[in-house]
Amino acid sequence: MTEVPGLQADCEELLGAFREADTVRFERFAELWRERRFHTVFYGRIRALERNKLTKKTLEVAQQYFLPPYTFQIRVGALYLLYGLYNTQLCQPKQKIRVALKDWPEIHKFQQDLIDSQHYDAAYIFRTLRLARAFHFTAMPKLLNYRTKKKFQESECKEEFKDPSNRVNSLITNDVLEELMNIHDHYQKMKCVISADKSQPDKALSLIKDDFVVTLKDITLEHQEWQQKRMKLFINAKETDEITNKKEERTFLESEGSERANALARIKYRSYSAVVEASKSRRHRQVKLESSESGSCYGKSPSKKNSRRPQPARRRDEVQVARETVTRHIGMPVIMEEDNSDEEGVSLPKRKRRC
Amino acid sequence: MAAAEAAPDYEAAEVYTRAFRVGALGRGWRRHLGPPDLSLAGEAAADAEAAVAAELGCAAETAAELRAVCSIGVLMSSDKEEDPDVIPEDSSLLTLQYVVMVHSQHPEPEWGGRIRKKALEKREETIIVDRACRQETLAYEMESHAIGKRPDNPTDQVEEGELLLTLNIFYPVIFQKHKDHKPYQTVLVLGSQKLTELRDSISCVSDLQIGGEFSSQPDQAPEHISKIQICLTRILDLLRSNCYYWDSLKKHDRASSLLAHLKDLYKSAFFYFEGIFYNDRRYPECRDLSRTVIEWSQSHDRGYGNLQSVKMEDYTFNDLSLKIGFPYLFCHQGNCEHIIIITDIRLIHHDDCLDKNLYPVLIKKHWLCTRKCFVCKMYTARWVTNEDSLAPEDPCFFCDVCFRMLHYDAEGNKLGDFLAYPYVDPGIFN
Repeated sequence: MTEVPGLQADCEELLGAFREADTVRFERFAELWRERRFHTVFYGRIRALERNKLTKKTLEVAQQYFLPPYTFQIRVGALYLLYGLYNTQLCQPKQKIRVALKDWPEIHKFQQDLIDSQHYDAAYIFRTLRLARAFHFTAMPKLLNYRTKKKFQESECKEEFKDPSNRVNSLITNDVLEELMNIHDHYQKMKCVISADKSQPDKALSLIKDDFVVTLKDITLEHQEWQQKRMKLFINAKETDEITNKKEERTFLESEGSERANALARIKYRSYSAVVEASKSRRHRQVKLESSESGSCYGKSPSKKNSRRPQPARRRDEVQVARETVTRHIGMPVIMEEDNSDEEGVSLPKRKRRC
Repeated sequence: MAAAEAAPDYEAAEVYTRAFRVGALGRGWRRHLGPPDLSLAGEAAADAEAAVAAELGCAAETAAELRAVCSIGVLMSSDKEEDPDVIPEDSSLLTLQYVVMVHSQHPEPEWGGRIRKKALEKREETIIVDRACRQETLAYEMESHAIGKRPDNPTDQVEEGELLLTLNIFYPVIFQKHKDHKPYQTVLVLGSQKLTELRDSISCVSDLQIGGEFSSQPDQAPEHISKIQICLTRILDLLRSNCYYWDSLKKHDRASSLLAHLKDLYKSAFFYFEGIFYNDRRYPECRDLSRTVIEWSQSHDRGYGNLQSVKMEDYTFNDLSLKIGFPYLFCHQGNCEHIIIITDIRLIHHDDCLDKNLYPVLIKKHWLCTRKCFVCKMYTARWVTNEDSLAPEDPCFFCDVCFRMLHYDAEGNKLGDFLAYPYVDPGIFN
């Protein structure tokens, strides 16, 4: 199916406006929809055959925002968008929304999240769509016709819409850390029990670092911080193309220093207090801790695609260099342990073997 | 049963999936969904607030509020009646600006300077009457004729949770111009149907070809039979293209036996899916066409693994292991090969055709232009000649009347030198 020109831009514009509104209420979405008179997106096509094709394509474009890796708010926006498009379409009988079996567990979990966090309007709308038989339950999201020669336009999904991919966090979750902590404590207790001195384990039994769970937690947090910082700077680089090379460097070096200090302080605070990662449904409502990092993302207006703006060659180079500078400075934080271990290895041979 | 079978997923990204059992997909979905999702009854009536409240875990008043806040009316403009064919002048939507550009009625669009004119715009300026051509009408009819159909007899109704497969069956390459974009038919078939039902529904012109050179005896034997067959085919296909009659005709006994006659000549055929050849062995005349291939594969270590041969009539689509988006083969007449690609598998839906007897349903067909007689340019060609001293080109096509007038005298004697073969045009299935 050939692309419908302008459609993705319109959808992204609406979703972007919804994201800026910083809410998940349907009422707000409906306002934005009415402002744009979005139901007219189906107008102007006259004959039924083409109308069917167009509507299928429209639903397909909207549907991709409904699944991960998009943020919770965008996914709710996509749900509302699908609801609107499905019900305002002109085809008779209505074209359906395709859902693949592999995506269903995610969608089901999403629905549960909505109910659990009492976003009743979103849950109601999903329920309504389901009762109205708006879905086709399919094997794969799109029809596959063995088109190997066709050049795929990698659908450039806006970075701002996506959750930063948090594979580290999905591996080291709260549960995992808690479990590790419990096992660690239990292990320490066992060691005490079998030692001569009941208050502490024998020296001979110390084979692991005592604080490794806390260190693990710290590293995870640091990674998260780094990712959000990177995200923020990525957005900054995209929007401001007037900053000169040196200025960028200087400001960044300064800010980096203070950022680090702040980050460390925050990590310590977090290790002993609040939950590391709230459930996704609450993320948009996070209080200060997160918002100072990611809130800025919500605040910024979605930037237009770079290709549209004509840039003089000189400017482009500057931006590029600035970007390079930026990335160079956000290298992955170095894990200091390695150096320590060497030292320890020399002085205390017993500590060589580690977990 | 063990762990849940994994859902189908891509093997080559965005191109085709890995192989999976079709029946497993049905089971997978039915496990996840509840009775209201699977039901084929009409849309559930707006239910009481109590039901909403129970499911969402909210208060009854909230449920009432939700119904008001989330109604569709909220998304429509409340003012005057709108005409969907008219694009609003002041729209901010980019999609519509592109539409206006394409269907522009202004000779000088306001933004003509910024956006380049397309060929379609030119067409709009010169077109006189803007309506669907007959190919488009036919295409739309084919796509939608079976939608929502219900059987007269409730036992013929498709069951809940049934799977619907969409297949593209490609024509064997006949014309050069089709080399890059092969024409195909699209067929819908149910998971519970046997492979033989699909095989019977595939109409290919090679089923009607007559072999043999008949320049000396144009009136002789096979031509009569072929005439009847062609006539029957034309009638049936005329009816087939008038979809309303076709559906009721298919159920009629006489019509189905007529259909059966047309497949009389060479009955052997096979499907090839995932290393297994499914051969048609319903009649004693059917041969195992795949035997040659299997023997060839087994003779040396050619790297094709273990190819098997089984009977087509013993298998339904639910029993197969398939990849979606991957080309497979249908072979009949010994050497007429059609590529088959399964493009989609999904659960049956309330809006689909629910009459089992109408499946497999043809929903898309490529329109092939028939080759006309070289002389009159009116009738479809029924003869083709080679090395014809009387003809301006080689090969040359003639309708029956022109052929006889040119090549035979009043007594029926052959004039000049030529070779003549009966010709069945692929386009007769239009």
